[in-house]
Amino acid sequence: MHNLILVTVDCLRADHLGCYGYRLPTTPFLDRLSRTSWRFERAIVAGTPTYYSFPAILASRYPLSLGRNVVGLAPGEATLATGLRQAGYTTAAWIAGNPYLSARERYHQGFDLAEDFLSDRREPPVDVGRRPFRSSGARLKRLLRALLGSGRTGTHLYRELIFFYWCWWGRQRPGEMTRARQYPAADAVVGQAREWLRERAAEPFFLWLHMMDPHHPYFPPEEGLALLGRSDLTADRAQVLNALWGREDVSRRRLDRHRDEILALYDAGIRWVDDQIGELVSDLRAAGRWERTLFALTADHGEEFLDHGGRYHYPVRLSPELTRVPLLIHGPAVGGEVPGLFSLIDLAPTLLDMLDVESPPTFSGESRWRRNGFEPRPYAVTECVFDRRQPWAESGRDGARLVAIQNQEHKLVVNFATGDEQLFDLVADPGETSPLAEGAALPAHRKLLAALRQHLRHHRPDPRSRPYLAAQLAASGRSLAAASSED
Amino acid sequence: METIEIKLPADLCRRVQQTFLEAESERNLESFVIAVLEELVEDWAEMDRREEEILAERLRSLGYLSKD
Repeated sequence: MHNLILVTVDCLRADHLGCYGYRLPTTPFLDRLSRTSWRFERAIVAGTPTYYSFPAILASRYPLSLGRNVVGLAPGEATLATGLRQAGYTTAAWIAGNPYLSARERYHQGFDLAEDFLSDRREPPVDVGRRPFRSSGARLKRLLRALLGSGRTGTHLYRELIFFYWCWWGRQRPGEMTRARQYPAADAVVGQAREWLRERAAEPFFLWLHMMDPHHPYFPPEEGLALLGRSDLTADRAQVLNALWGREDVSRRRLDRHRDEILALYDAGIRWVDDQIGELVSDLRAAGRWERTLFALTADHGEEFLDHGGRYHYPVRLSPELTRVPLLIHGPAVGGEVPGLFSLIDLAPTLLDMLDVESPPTFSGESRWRRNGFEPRPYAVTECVFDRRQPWAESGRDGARLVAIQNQEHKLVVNFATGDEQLFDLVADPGETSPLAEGAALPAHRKLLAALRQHLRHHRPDPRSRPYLAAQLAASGRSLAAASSED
Repeated sequence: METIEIKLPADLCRRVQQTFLEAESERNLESFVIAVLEELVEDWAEMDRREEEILAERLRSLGYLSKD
């Protein structure tokens, strides 16, 4: 067992895979694979969203521990890829157009070959609805605004009329999903990886694939919709649904009416990813390489569909639909269910241990592999800077932390920006819908507070460490560039 | 403002000026170096210490830490 394939899927919730109990057939291939894999029931991300999650996944580092102004990896930071390359691996990555995982954020470090699909877009995608209107719409907007005024009722009517106009006349229809999609679909990512495996991949190799198909705006390939029996959802319909789902002024009741269709688009993205992973594994089996390959699939975070009132995956909440992700590891031994807590901070050291490769000393996590199973973690921590939706902007880079710490029984969420604290009983309330009353479960509360304090103390930025200096030099260069462009 | 003098290799200074600065003058170079160093010494651990203290205070208020 010496090759490694790591597949990460953006926005993939654990509870939308069949092998995690989902009612729809989104992942038939992964469901079959899970029967001979290690399936982790409680894999928790160490940060969310993408720019806070991936330092933990690839570099086993908590996202704020080099300074909360740091986005991406530090120059020269040790990662899963650099560790394997040093051990003699050929390394390659295909990343489906996520700018937070680009060369700019140093995610190409350690890869002999890395393709992020950011520079080869041949034509811009069709506007998905956030900046609509043909030129006649501009005159209509001015007229309506003048007639309706800018009071609350007038503004609401104005928005509804404009949206109605846009739905029926004022938009450029995409015609097909490809023209509206913001990211390359799984077949584009996997197709290039399959070619590399056939023609160039010397063993041992490390292949990382990052797929974006479930990410909003939701424009899954038509093939994914067909596989789920939802060919009724056309690109035009998807464009209207995405525009409605993104509105801030729409009532919860109205969003609920369209939630199932939005979920169908999201699920179709997952279905297509599943299909393409099946193709990849078929190639490896045919080439006789599957038996020598350790395969891991996970996600950087999940996605909200009004479960706790929110949409998408902004860093304003650490609810389970965002923090609990699938993790399947196929490789040594037959596999089985891993019921205990697993943090993605431990993923890279665990995979390296399974390959018998030493972890870099800078890794914060530890291997959980114990030859015939995995040892659970006592706690899992997830953190981010609260509401930092634009990590490249200067403002907000010194924002307060939003952090969750959990063990098998309880989860504590602390928002340092608002001062809110919530404690959940994960046994009685796994969906985290009802925080415990103040003063309830005090021993559990104390334990988690004390463990969280230890976590902050242990992972505080250390100005004397080389990774800190490297990260701050990079961050300060970006900051100065931003400041001078504003002059 | 109290200052100290440091010596930098001339060739390095020229390369910095050519790479980062529009006008090649020692004044610009000096401002640039000051700006970089000011960025670097910003204390990114300060908020962590404050948040840690908030948690310590919370533990004290719940009677789990002494008030020392």
